[in-house]
Amino acid sequence: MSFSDQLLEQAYHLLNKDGDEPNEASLRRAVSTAYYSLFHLLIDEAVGNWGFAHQRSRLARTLPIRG
Amino acid sequence: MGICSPTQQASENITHKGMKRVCEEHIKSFYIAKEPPAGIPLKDVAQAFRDLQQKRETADYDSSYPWTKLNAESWLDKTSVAFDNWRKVRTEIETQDFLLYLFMPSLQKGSGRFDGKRVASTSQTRNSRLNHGPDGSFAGQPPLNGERQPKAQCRHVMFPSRDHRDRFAGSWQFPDIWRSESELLRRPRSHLCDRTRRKTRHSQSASPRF
Repeated sequence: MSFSDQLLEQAYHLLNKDGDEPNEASLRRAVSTAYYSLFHLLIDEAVGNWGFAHQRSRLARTLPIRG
Repeated sequence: MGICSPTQQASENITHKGMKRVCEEHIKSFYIAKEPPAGIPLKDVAQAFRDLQQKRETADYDSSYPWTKLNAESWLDKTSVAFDNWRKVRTEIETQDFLLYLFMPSLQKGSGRFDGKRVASTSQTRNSRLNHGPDGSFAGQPPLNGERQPKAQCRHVMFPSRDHRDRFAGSWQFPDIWRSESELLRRPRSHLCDRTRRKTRHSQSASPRF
């Protein structure tokens, strides 16, 4: 399972972990994690296009994304 | 004034806000192109990214926003749909172009996505001027019957051109933008006016030679 899929799964876990009455912090973290899952999906796809497979993880880590 | 490397220059463009702007541009051009059905999944991904980024900021910084489980769940479902849409179209050329623009937003200018509504880049416009025959024919296409191309079809951008983008679209090496500039500097100076040429000659003779 890719990192982006793991993040999306974690977002659903945060959403459902307290049943029908989740606390606000979990809801907020769930939405934030959902955004980062999509963000990392795009990062992974972009880095996957890099020609040298052994450099991809390093490239993904070092992309200096700012706010 | 320091000169930064191409990698540095490319990476300086990568921001969450910059990526959001690219998504907004993509959505805009999708509607300008009269909503082509093939572009819907990618447009939905761009829209989801833009909206989710906004919601992420609300979730992290706006303590007054009343989150409910239903509301949060709808955003997670939207993300899940965006994942599916992305995987449907991830190998399409348009998708790969979009991905390239996300990380190099400057390439998006004048790219002319969506086949029906392509916009000529500067180099295409320049080449079309060079290759037009006396009857107005262009590279094997039928003559234009004396009609000039309407100006509205040409959007002038300095660089990178579409050719420049295409050169890098397959390989994903960071574009050597500075090389284009150094090529410009190496051009013969015949285009300079006499006064400039005199000045240049003077400054060359005045500078010490080693």
